[in-house]
Amino acid sequence: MKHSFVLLPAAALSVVCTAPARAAVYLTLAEAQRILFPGASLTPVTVALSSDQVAAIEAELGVTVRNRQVRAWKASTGGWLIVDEVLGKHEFIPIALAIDRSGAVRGVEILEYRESYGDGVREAGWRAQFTGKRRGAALRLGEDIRNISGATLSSRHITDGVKRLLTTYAVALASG
Amino acid sequence: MTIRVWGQPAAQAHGAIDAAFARITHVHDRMSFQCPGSDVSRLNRAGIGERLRIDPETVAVLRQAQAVARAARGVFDPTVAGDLVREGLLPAPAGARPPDPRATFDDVVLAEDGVVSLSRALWLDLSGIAKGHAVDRAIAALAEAGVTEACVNAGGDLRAIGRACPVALRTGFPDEALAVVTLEDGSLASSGGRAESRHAAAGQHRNGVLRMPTVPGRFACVLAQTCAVADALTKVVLALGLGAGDVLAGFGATAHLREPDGSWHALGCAAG
Repeated sequence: MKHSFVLLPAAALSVVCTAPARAAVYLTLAEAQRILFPGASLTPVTVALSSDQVAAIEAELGVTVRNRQVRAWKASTGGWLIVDEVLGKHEFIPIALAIDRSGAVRGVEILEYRESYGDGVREAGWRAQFTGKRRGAALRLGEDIRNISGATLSSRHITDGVKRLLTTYAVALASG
Repeated sequence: MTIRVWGQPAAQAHGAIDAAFARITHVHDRMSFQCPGSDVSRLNRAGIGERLRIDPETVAVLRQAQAVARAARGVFDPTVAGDLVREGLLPAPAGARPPDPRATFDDVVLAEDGVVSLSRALWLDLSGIAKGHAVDRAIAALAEAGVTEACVNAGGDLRAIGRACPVALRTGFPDEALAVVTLEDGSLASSGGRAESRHAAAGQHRNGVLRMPTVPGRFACVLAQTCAVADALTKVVLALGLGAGDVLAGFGATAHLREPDGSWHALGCAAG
């Protein structure tokens, strides 16, 4: 194969692109907040879902709500940021979902990825598919959200997580 | 999974990329270890001697895997999944019957007509070659769509056409010199021992003959014409170390091997 192979001394690297695959922190929460709501100030709001709210979410989506605590921030410019975790293949993936004042997705950020494989879910193009989605959108892997080969479980669980958080927003935050 | 295309109008490039992703999805659907409807899962449920007709592409991957397994005298063996599941390193496939601990890849019998049968119950896991194959299929789709410059990267298994593609290897030793391969055409795949990984299954590679983990601290980067071959040969290099040169040469492949002491070695066909 026509190729070249070089070893660059570690000390000479100004830009390090080695990124070991495991437990890479991609964004701190503060960075995610800046990207998703630039210029806005965010006020933390912790909401504990009531049994009725949990039942409403579970009935609508047929999923189990694992965590009743919703970690959310209200943006001064309108809209909400919710931070939650979804299961990847073996590990939880923390995600940040930004919802605009009309209830549509502004953006999704992956905060940390702990798996050795499947970090294709970080691709901006893949995550951009969620932008503009609202409660009631199909949000089904292989339909309106493209599957990522090698990251099927991560991509499915993030898709399901966004869907669950959009309903959580509608049930618990939208009126706030 | 990243697909990059150059030199095409955006609409045409997107069409080509969609076609490439469709091929990748097909490979996943047919060759996934966990997906119950895949050809691999059907084989993992199959009885001894049961004749299964499977997708021609899965047959082609099995033939390629057999070629590597034979050349490497069994150190590459896609049936080590049974060992990994037994040790709790890999989740058991849903609905599969238990594998025979004596089973090896030789127990997968491919007939001339593409019908597959098993001579022992076993668990096949093609993930050590199917990812590379998916990259090859994606490149084929791009080429058929008229793309002449592209790079398809499936997390370290990649293939380039028409354009030099620099790749920094993720060896897992971030304090060391950074190994950079610039691939001008053909394929590259890399794999490491990652013995320290908590996600054992993701980083575990076995010597198919000894059924033992490969040497921790080894890292192999293989360059070959097709990504499927490069992908499979990484496991051979991890298992055989400096002794893998002849197998590599048989496939026209080159490898860069990092040994646990931090030294790098070029093996196989002459580099350059």
